[in-house]
This record gives sequence, structure tokens and C-alpha cells, in this order.
Amino acid sequence: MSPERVGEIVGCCRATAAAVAWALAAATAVAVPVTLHAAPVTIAFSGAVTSDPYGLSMVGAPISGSYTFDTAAPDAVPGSSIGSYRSTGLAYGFDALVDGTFYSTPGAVTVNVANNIGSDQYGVIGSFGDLTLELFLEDFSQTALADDALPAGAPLLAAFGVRSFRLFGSDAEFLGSVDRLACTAGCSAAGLPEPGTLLLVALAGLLWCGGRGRGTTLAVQR
Amino acid sequence: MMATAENHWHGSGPTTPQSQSRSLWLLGWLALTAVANPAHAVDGVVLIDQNRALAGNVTPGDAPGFPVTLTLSGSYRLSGNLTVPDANTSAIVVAADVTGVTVDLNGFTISGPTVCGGFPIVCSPLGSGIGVSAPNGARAITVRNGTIVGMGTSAVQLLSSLNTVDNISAISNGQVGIFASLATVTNNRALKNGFNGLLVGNSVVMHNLAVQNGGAGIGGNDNLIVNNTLTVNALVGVAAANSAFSGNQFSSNNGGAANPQFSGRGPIGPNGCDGSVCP
Repeated sequence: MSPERVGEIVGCCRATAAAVAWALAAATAVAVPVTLHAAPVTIAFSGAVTSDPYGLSMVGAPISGSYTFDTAAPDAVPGSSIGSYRSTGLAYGFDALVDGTFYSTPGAVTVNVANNIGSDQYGVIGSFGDLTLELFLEDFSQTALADDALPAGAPLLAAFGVRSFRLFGSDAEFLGSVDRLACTAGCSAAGLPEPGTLLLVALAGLLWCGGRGRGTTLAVQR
Repeated sequence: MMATAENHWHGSGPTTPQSQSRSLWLLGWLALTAVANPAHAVDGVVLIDQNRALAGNVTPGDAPGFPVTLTLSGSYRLSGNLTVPDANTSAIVVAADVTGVTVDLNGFTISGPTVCGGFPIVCSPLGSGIGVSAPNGARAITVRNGTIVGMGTSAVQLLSSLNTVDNISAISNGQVGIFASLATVTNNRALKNGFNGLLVGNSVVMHNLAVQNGGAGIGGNDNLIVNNTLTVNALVGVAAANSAFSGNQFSSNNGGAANPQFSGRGPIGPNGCDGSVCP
């Protein structure tokens, strides 16, 4: 092996080491705010009315809205299969626009997560007075969610077979489909790979670098 | 919503004593009003679905997660299926001191993980979970119109008095399909439960179907048992001490038509055994 090739490998390993250091730092930076500090995240959704039992609108009318929750909300349900995360405060709530009419449940929102209980489920519910807004996703293949932890961003909508919106009020009731779900604010933490994923990347880099280093030594000895 | 949050959390907006006072007032108002209120249908019935069950506060004192605890009299209706996480978890429990609760499953299903199969029937996993339960002291409880499948113990268990179970399908529950006392038990279906399809006491039991249960189709004491269909249950179709029964149809229970199809007090009217009048 030529000295230039050895130099390329060493340089590559330096670059890998820098990448490893970046990944470790990024993993730490991501882990700390997600786990220790409140981080409002807003998820927007849209869909269409599928049932309007009181004739206030019509089937197919557009639905859109958003909910804002706290990524640091505590899990109120013990155990490892169900999580219920309630965020309270002015920053949090659930809004929906159904065929041009605005509905809002400010001050609190609950995100429910269920993993491997016969299905995987992701639910959002906001209540204010007589008004309740809900979003409910369910995957009977039980592959959509890895655990009952609160997802920091929008779950992958395509992973769920059941995708429903519900509104119940004293003078209104709508059922609807959900065909779009996206994080629109506070998504920086949610958009990065999980810390564990970054650490795996770093470890793979270290192993790769170590393997190339041993190969270089052998080549020089020959 | 985000802008408001950032202003309050990071103090980036102008802050005056008036705005602070307004914010505090608003916070207090939200604290009083923005609790997770139970959802009502337009007709005033309290709605229950998986989201509300997990969020809690369906009635005051109902903790997040299962079971949903009903602490107030009234009418409750499922607006979606309920799924409990394990065989030891109940779905809906009426508090002990409550009288007058109606739980309408509204055609939806309460499900758990227990599966019953084979011959003789074996259920696994077993546990303490019940679909809808009301302990001693909770009276005048009605459960109706839906399916309860795979609970660790029973689909329905109503232990006090003046109860009604109507139009429930109890399928593949670990022990008893429907367990009720001082009740009217009508138009139900009990299939492949680990022990008796129906276990009832001091009750009127009419127009039910019990098939392939691991015990008797209907068991219990001091009942009036009329016009039920009992088929291929592991023990007798009706094992009801001090009960009166007539108009029931028995078929291939207790190992076959050659074996006794019922036990207990003699019938007060004709019953059918495999297409003939029972001896």
C-alpha cells in the first residue's frame, strides 16, 4: 500500500473520529432537552368529514387543525404498554376547523400511546366544556410504535390502518378521516434521529475505523 | 399557540402588571374549566372510547388508563372499541356505592388478550380482568348491546341486585361469560368461555344462546330459565339448583345426547333435547 493510501485511510479515520465526536455531542444535545425540559411541539393534520349525524355539514367537507403538546409531559399510566401524557398550560391545546367552523379546546391536551395491546394506538384528546376533539390512529399489525413512549414528533400516518378524527359537542358531532399529519412547530428535536440511533452510528464508525486501521498495519508490514 | 407559549416561557414579549394580572386570571380560569371533562353526546349520554379511557376523568376520580371507573349514576355509551392491555385489567368498573348505571356498548367491542380453544376448552392467559363489572353495593346496573371478548375472567360480572344484561356477546373469556345476580339476563350469546357460559343467581334468564363453553351452558341457583338454547357445552346445558326451566333447547351437551342435558330441579314445562321432547 502506498504512503498516500495509508494517509487517505488515516485521514478518513480522523474524519470518522470527528463524525463520531459530532454524533456523540448531537446525541447528548438531543437527549438533554427532550428528557429534561418542556418542549412544545405542534402537529397539524387534515382530513375530511365521514359522518355528520346532525347534518351540520356534509360528508367530504374538509377538516384541518393542530394540537400542541409538551414532550416532557409525564406518563400517568404505570406499566410498559400504555402511556397517557397530559400537557397543561396556555401553550397546549387542540384546535380543529371543520368545514369552516373553528373549534378549540385550549389549556390542555392528552396524548395516549398504546403498544402491543392487540394493536398499536396513538390518540390525542382535548376537552373544554362540552366540546371534545379527538384524533385516533390504530395499527393492528402492531408495528407502528416501538413502545409506549410519547413520540416527540408526528407519528408515521401510513403505519396506521385506522386514522380517525372525532368531534363531540353539545350541539355538534363529526367523525372524520385523517390523511395528513405533520409536525409544524418545535420539531427540531423530533426531526433528528433518536440519541440511540446516533450512538449506533458513532459505534459503527469506530468499528469501521478500527477495522481499516488493522488492515493498514498489515499492509505496511508486508 | 406557539407564539403565546414562547412569550410566556421565554419572556420575550412586553410584560406589564396588567398583562401579568390578565395572564394569571386566564390561567386560573383554564385551571378551573379546562380539566378533561367527560364527553357527552348530543343526548347527554357520557361517551367512552379508548382515548377517553386512557385520558381518565370519565367521571370524577377516574384515573388515566384502565379500568374506566364510573363513580356517578347515569347513562354511558361506547363511541369506539376498548382494548385492555392484559388479562388482569378490567375495562369498565362501576364504583361500589353507585346505583343506576347503564353501559350501552353501542355495538362496539371490549377486548382483551385471552384466547380459549381446544376440547376440552383451555383459556390463556387467565387473569382478573372483567369487561364490565359492578361489585356488591352497586345496584341497578344495565349492560347491553355489544361484544366482550378475551377478558381474563369474565365479560360481565354484576354482583349486587336489580341488574340487567341484554344483547351481549361474551366470547372467549377466561372463566365465565356472564356472571350476574338478581338480574334479568336476556338475548345474550356466550361462546367458548373457559367455564360456564352464564352463571346466574335469583335471576330471570331468557332467550340466551350458550355454545361450546368449558362448563355448563347456564349454571346457578334459584333462577327462572326459559327459552334458551344450549349447545355442545362441556357439562350439562343447565346446571341450576332450585331453578325452574322450560322451553329450552338442549343439544349435544355433557359429551353427547345420550348423557343428561340438565340437572337441578325438574322442569316446569317441556324442553327440547336434540330435536325431541326431553325425558
